[in-house]
Parts: sequence; structure tokens; C-alpha cells
Amino acid sequence: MIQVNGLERTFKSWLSGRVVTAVQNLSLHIQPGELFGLVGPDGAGKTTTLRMLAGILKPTAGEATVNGHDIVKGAEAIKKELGYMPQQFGLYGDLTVDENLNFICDVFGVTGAEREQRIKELLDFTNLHEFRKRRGRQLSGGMQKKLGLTAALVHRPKLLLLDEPTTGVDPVARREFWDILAQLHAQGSTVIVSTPYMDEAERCNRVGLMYNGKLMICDTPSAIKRLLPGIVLALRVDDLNTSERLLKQIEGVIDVQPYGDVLNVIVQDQSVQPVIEKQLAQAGIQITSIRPAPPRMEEVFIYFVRRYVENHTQPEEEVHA
Amino acid sequence: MTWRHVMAIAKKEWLHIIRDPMTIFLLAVGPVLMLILVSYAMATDVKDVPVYVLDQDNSQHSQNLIARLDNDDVLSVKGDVTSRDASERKMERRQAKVIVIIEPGFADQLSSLAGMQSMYDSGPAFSFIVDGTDPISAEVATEAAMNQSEAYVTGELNTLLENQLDAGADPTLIRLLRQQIESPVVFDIENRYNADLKAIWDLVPALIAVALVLPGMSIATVIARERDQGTLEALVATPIHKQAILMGKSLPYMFTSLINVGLMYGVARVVFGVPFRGNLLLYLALSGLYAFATLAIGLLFSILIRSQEAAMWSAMLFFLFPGILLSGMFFPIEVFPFMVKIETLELPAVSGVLINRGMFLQGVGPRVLWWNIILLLFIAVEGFEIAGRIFKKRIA
Ligand SMILES: Nc1ncnc2c1ncn2[C@@H]1O[C@H](COP(=O)(O)OP(=O)(O)OP(=O)(O)O)[C@@H](O)[C@H]1O
Ligand SMILES: [Mg+2]
Repeated sequence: MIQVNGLERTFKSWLSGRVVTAVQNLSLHIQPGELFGLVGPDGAGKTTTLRMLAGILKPTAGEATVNGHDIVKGAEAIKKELGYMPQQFGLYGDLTVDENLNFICDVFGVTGAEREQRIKELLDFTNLHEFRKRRGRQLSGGMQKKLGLTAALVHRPKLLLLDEPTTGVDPVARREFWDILAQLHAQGSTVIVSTPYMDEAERCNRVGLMYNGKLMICDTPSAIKRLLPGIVLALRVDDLNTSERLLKQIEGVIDVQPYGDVLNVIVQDQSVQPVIEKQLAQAGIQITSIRPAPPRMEEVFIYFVRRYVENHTQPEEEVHA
Repeated sequence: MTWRHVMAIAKKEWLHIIRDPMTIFLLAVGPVLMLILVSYAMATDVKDVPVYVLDQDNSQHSQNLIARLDNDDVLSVKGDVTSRDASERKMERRQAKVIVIIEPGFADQLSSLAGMQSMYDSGPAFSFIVDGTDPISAEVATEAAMNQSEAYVTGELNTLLENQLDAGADPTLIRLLRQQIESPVVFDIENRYNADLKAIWDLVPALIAVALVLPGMSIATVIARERDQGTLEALVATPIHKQAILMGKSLPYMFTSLINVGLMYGVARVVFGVPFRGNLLLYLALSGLYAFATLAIGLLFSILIRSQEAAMWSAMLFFLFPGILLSGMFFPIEVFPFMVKIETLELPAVSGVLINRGMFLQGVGPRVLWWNIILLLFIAVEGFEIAGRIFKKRIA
């Protein structure tokens, strides 16, 4: 379905002449029927990647095909079979829900009884029925996202590219949204969805972790979680800061990631636990609880980002030292 | 490009226009309002135009005539001058707009005209010197001065003839003399600073053309607006052909332009009484062509300039200032230096003004206007062609 080889996109500011590399040497293969999650923090390059795949942004290097069409030369052919939902509300604020959907139907030639049927079906799907007469800009953020998805679905596209469809949406609506995506996945659609939320990545059949324009890891969620070189201990203590500093000096501790009032300590194996307990007790720190926890995407991602940042900043630090 | 896509965009664009009360108001009646306002502002309220009189006759009749001129609402006699030189100075200092020169022997001519001895003599002569920098008030003031002088002379002649009839003159002779006083006065009018005075009839057709740049300015924001609001991203990710986007966006503006052509035609004929001497169907077709050329240029601005405000302002600068100043509305195009003349070639308003004037007043057709028709066709076709080429279905 999608073949990406060494794709790259840079932006040059004409004012300062500074060059930003938004996407760097990206290679990726996506099979038909996948629910693929493009996960990464702000500025990772998710939007830039999706725009290039949608044929609305030219890459500065590399190449990619979507449905067998080149993203530069075959851009218009890609768009015929594509449902694209931009990160920003892409519909018209001064038009009602119905008018917006009718416009999309006009564009894709969905007419007559088929149009009625399709719009009704999709509004059932997204629960937007009672808002049909409301103007786009009067919808809440979450409803706007749903309308965006509805609009991307009217023409039954082969491929759906959804850019952060759940950002700014409340937790309940987010769950509903992912239920919809799961349903589409079950129906056989190919869906690529970007998100900054790691927990959402768990619901994809494959995940690409992006950071700083690079695709760092790309695999199924369970395989990604197995990449963690060790196990996670969830630790509750009374002094988070001191503990974090102490823990990092202990042999066998790979990473310490504060998460609310919990410290997720990544250790080589179970044998490190007694060492931790002893050392913290010596420093007079009270341990409320300590137990092994199943690793989540979050821990894996942070671990890899930290390792990446260390590798890429070390030379500079040496210069300073 | 398919018709379906053009209509899809046109429908959506029409909804944008009617959703915003200000936009629909400006587009639907803006040009015709502009026509009415500007024409009235220029045409009415011509009052108390300063007049100086060089009275070389100094008779009872000349005094009566001066009083009569001063009585007219439009005119206000500010005083006498004693020589032509003095009158020139008054006009240079802009103290006088009209100088009325009464030739020596005015009173004698009047009475001799009423006598049989000089039946075939020409009547009394008046000279007017008119400051034409403000054509409308100059026109109205000249008109008033002419009417008053003629009315006075005619009135006096009639009285004299009545008196002769009472005194027992031959009625047939009197009848002959009466016929002669149909237009007894000879006027010698000299316009300063603006050789051929432009009247309201000249102004209204030109204004029709200039007012039609409003839709052109309005369309200059359509692409930039989608870019600003972030809707362009979704739009360019659909398979709509880019020409269909441009065409679809132009159609509603074209529609409002044509409505305005009709309204302004009506206002010109009914309110201002401007004659229409050309072929009405041809006029409608050419107006459509002119509107299309204007929209093509507006659309170019919309694509070239990325933010809404900047696009609006540039279109305004392009259309309003040179469009109005160079349109031949205030200054005849012949006075421009060669380079400016070249520049006017790309301004549809220049051709629009010529077509409107030509068809309203002279009743000319393609045989005279062919050059402007070709120019407009070229601007319209090339404008859309270039717009289609530079508009990319991409962001950034
Ligand atoms: N049109 C552009 N011009 C200049 N720089 C850009 C442009 N688009 C993106 N960038 C830069 O490229 C980088 C990646 O941006 P991108 O929008 O792809 O990230 P993202 O992962 O979608 O982030 P977010 O979660 O905030 O949407 C950023 O540093 C951004 O500043
Ligand atoms: Mg983004």
C-alpha cells in the first residue's frame, strides 16, 4: 500500500536562512489493511510525513509511492482514493455540518440516494446527527474532529490519513474515536493515524515512533515493548528527587522515569530490586511500595529518546568540559 | 476539469458569500451604490459658483442681466472686473470660476434687433471664460449662465416687440421677428484647463466600469482566506482539478457582477437620463467579458499573495488608484506619457471605460472597440491561464 524510501523534507527560512529538517531519511512499508500509528512528540515530523503521503507537500529527497502512485508525479491519482484529515479543522466554519458534508459529496460525486444513505450512516457512526444544522465553527473541538473524520470517510477511501484526530478531545470522546478507528480497521480500511499520546499507540497493529524527524522504531506494540533491555519496577517513595539521583548511581539501573508520584525504574533484572531497597533505606528514604510493572510504550519511547539525545549531545558536552 | 467540480466549488463559494451579510451586501449592491453616491456627489450641490463680470457696456440692460445672474441659485456674482487682464488674474487665483464678458453695445444690439432695420443681424454676443478643473460644477455653472442670459435677452426682445405691436407695427413683420428670436444670442465659451468639458453623461458610463472593480477586489481574498483558515490543506488533498477550483470560485462573483451591470445600466438610464445608443446584447456580452477580466486579475492577486489582508490591499492599490486615475475618467488617456500609456494596457478598467462610454454615448460597436475587446479577452484568458499555472495543489 505504502512504500517509503529515504524520504526527507527540509524547510528553509528565507528570513534567517536557517534550515529545519522536518523529516529525515524515512523508510517505511505499510501493508493494506493496517492500522498504523505514527507516534511522536510535538515537532517530531508527523504532520510533514502525512502531508507528503497525501501528495500535498513535495519531499526534498527520497521517494514514496501510495497505492502504486508516486507522491510527486502521481499526487492527483493518490487523492482520488484518499481520505485526508488535517490536524487543523479543515472544513468550513461558516457552513453547517450538512453543507460541509454535501460539499464533500459534490466533490467526490456521491449523489442521490447513495449520498443520503452514506451521510446518515456516518452521522450515526460519529453521533453527530443532532448537530446537522449547526455551523462548523460553533461545534466543540471534539465534534469538529468527528466532522473532519466523517468528511474524510464519505467516499469510502482506500486509504485514510488522520493527523492527530484525538488531540484536544476529551477522554470519553477519545475512546469513542478509537473505537471508530478499530471498526474501520476491522472493515479492512488502511488507516494511518498520528498521535502524540503513547497510550493510543497500543491500539494500533503497528507503530512508528518518530522523534526529531527520524523514525526511531517501527514495529508492533508488543515487539516494541520487548525492545526494553530489562524490566520495569514501579516505585513509590517519600522523596522523589533524592531517590531519582541515588537510583541512577546504582549498578544495574538502566533508566529512571518519574511518572506522577511513581518512579518507573528500568533495571537489568529482578536481582537489582534488593539492592535498590537497601540503598534507599540507608539514605533514610521510606519506600511505600515497589513492584514489577508491565512495560508500556511510554517507558520504551522515553528510554529510546534519552539514549538518542545522549548519543547526539555527548560530543558537545565534551567540548564544554 | 469537470463541470461537477466547478459547480461544487461555486455552490460552496456562494454559501460563503451569502453567509456574511456584509459581503453579500457589498457584492450585490456595492457597485451600484458607488455609482449613485459618486455621481450625486459630483453632480448635485453645485451652488454659488463665483462669477465675475467684465461689463463693457455699462447700461441699464447689462446691470439687469448681472442682477439676474446673481439671482440664479447656481451662480453668485462676486463683483466686477475692469479689464480682461484683471479677469485672468481672478481666475488664476481661483476667485472666479466663470467670467462673463458683456461686449460693448449690448443694449444697442438688443434694441436694434427688435427693430426692422437689422433683421438679419446676429444677436448680442457673450463671452464666457470657464475654469474647467472641476468639470461638473463648470458645466452646471456655464449652463446656468447661458440660460439666464438667453432668457433675459429673449424676455427683453419680447417686451420690445409687444410695445411695437401696441404702437401699431405690422403684425406679419412682428411674427417674422419673433421667429428670429428663437435663439438670439451668440455665445463664445472658452474653457480653461480642461478643453472639452466632461459632463455627467460622460462620467456615469465611466463610473459603471470603475465600480465593477469591486468584485475583482473581493475575489482577491478567496484563496488567501482558505490558506489563513487552514481549509486549503483539506481542499488541495481532494482530487478537484485546480482549474475547477479557480473557475468555481469565480462564478459567484461573475454572477454578482452581471447583476450589478443590469442595476447600473438601469440607474444610468433612469436616474441620470444617460442615453444608450449601442447594441444592448453586445453591451451585456462585453460587460461580462470586462467583469471576467477583472476577476481574473483579482484571482491572480489571491494566488500570488499569501495572506488575506495583503492580497486585499494589493488588489485595492492595483485597481482603485491606477484603475480610477488612469481609467480616463478624470484625465483623458492622451495626456499620459508613453510609458503610462503602455501600463494602461494591462488595466481592464481602461478598456471598460472606453467600452461603456462608446456604447452609451456614441453607439459604437466592435468596429471601433475591437482593440479593447481583444485586450480584455487577452487579459481574461491569460489571467486565468497564468493563475492556473501558478496555483499549486500543495501547501508550502
Ligand atoms: N511549512 C513549514 N515551514 C517551516 N517549518 C516547518 C513547516 N512545517 C513544519 N515545519 C517544521 O518541521 C518540524 C516538524 O513539524 P511537524 O508539523 O511535521 O511536526 P508534528 O510532529 O506534526 O508536530 P505537532 O505534534 O506539533 O503537530 C517542526 O520543527 C516544524 O517547525
Ligand atoms: Mg502535526
